[in-house]
Amino acid sequence: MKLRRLAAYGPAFVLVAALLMLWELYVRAGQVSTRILPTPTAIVQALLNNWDIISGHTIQTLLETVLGMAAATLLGLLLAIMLDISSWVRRAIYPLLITSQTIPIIALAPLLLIWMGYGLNSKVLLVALYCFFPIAVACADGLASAEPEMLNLLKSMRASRWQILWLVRLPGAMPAFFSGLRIAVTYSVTGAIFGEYVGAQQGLGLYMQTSFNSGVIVLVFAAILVTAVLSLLLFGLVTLLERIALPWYHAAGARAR
Amino acid sequence: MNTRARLFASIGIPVLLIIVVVGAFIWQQRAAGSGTTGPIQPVSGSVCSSLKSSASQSLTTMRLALDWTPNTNHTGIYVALNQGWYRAEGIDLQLLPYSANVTPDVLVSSGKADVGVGFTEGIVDDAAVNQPVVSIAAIAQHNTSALVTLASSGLTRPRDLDGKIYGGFGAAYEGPVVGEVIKNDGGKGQFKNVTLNVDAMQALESHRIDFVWVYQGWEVIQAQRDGIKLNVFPITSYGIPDYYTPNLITSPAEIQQKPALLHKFMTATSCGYEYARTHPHEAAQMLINAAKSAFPDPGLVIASQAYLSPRYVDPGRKWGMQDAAVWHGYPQFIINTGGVADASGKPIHSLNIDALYTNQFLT
Repeated sequence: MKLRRLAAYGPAFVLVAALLMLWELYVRAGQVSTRILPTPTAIVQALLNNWDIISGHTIQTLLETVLGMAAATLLGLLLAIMLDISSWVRRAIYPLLITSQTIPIIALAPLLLIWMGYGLNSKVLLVALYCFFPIAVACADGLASAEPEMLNLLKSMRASRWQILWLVRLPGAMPAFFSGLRIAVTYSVTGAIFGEYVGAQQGLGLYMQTSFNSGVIVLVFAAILVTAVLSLLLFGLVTLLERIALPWYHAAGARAR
Repeated sequence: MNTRARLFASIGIPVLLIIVVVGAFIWQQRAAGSGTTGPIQPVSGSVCSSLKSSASQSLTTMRLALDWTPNTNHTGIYVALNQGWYRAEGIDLQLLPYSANVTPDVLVSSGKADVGVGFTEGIVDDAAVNQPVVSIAAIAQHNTSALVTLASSGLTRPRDLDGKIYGGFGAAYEGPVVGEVIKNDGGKGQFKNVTLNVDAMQALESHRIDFVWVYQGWEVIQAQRDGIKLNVFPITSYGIPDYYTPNLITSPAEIQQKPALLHKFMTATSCGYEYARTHPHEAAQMLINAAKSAFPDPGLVIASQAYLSPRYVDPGRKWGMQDAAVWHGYPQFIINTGGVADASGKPIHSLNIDALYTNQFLT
C-alpha cells in the first residue's frame, strides 16, 4: 500500500529530475551567464551556505503565513456560515465578496503599508485577504449542498437551526471546505512574500529584493526554493488534516478510484 | 480514533503549528536582539568620541527611511549607530528598509518616517506636486551619476545613444537629463525610454537595452569587479549641473514640531559621516557588519567606500552643508526643460527653490 502510494509520485519525480538536469546542462553549456540564471546545484549550495541568514527570514515569513491563514480560515468559515443563514444575508454579502476579489492587491499593498506600517499586521492582513475567498466560497457551496433528506429528517425531529448546522451541514461541507483550504494555502506563502516585497524589516520577500538589488541572483533562487518547499509542506499539512478529519470521505474516494 | 479525537486533532495540529512558529519567531528575535547589543568598540581620534551615552536618559524614537538596499551612501548612519552616537544624543534610531513601492519621500511627508534618504531630483518633483520635503543635508556633495553602455556595444560617446533603448526607473526627470546629455555631445537627444522593474546592470548585460543610468560609486565598481567592461559617461561631464545626491530629507511639519530632535539627529549623523570620510576602511567594515545579508561581496563595499569617502565633502568644508548656487543649478535646469510637472501633470515654470533645503540643523 505504502509503496504503491510512493510509486504514484514516480512520474512527477522523473519529470522534475529531467527538467533540473536540462536546466543544469543548459547553463553549464554556457548558453546563459550564471550571473543571470544560476544552476540548480549552485542554488542549493548558496542556500546551504547562507542558511544562517535565510532561516531568520524564513521564520518571519512562516509566521506571517500561518497567522494570516488562521485569520483567513476563521473569516472564511464565518462568512460561509453567514451566507448560509439567510438568503437575504447571502444577497447582501455575496456581491461584496466577489468585488473584494477584483481589487488589485498590488495597488492596495503600498497603501496598506502606509496605513498599517512596516510591522507584522500589514502582511498578516494581506495573507488573509489573499486566502479567505476560496475558503469562504468553497465552504458556502458545501453548506448549501447538504442532502435534503437529511435536512428533512432533522427537521422532523425538531432540530434547531444550529443543530442542523452542526450535525449535518458543517460535516457535509467539510470536503468542500478542505478543497478551498488547499487552494488558499497554496497562495498563502506567496501572499506573505508579496507583502514583504512592498516593505518589511525581515522576511523572504525582503531577502529576495535585497539579493536582487545586490546583483546576486543565486540567492533570489535560494529564497524561491525555500518558498516552494514551505508551500508544499503547508499543502501537505492540509492534506494530512483532511485525512484525519474526514476518514470516511477519504475511504470513499479511494474505493471510487 | 473516535470522532471527538479526530475533531481535536484537526483543530489542535494547526494551533500547535502556530504556537511552534510563534515560539521560533520569539526565540529568533531574542537571539538577534542579544547579538546587536554587543559591546561597542569605540573609535578613537574622532571629535565625536566625546559623545557618551548616559544610560539613564530616556530615548526618543526616530524612524529613518532608506532609499535603497544598504550601501555606501548610508555608511555615516551605520557608523553613528554602531558607535552609539544616536543613543548619546537621546535618539533610538530605527531604520525602515527600502520599499520598491513606497518612496522615502512619501513616508516622510506622510509622517510614517521622521527623516529619510532622498535625492535632489525627487525633492524638486515632490515640491511641484505639493508633497513637500526639505533637504537637511547633502550626503554626497557631488553627483556620481553616469550613463553606461557595454564596451562591446560600440556605443562610445553619448551622441551614439540617439535612437537607442534606455532602461530607466520611471522617474520624470530621467528623460530631460538623458536627452540633454546626448544633445551636449552633439546628438539629437532622441531615444526610447523603457521603465525597468529589474536591476539596470542585469538588463544591460542581457542585451535587452542599450544604456542605463547608474552610480559610479556602486554599479560601475561592481562591474569592474565582475570583469564587465563599460563605457561610462558621467552626466556632469555633459552639461548637467552638478547637484547634491543623495540628501537627508524631512518634512516641513517635522522641522516645525521637532527642531531640537532634528538638531540632535544631525549632530550624530555628521559625526558618522565625518568618520566615514576620514576612515573609509573601518567605516565600510561597520556597514558590512550591520547589514551582512545585503553584501554578498564585502570587497565591493570596501572599494565603493574608498571611491565615495573623498566625495562626501570637498576638502575644507563641513559635511552636509548645501550652497544656494548648487541648489539653483539643477532645479532651475530641470524646470527649464519642462521635465517637472505639478499634480495635474502640467509642466511648472517656477518653484521656490530656497524652501527646498536648509542648513539650520548642521550648525
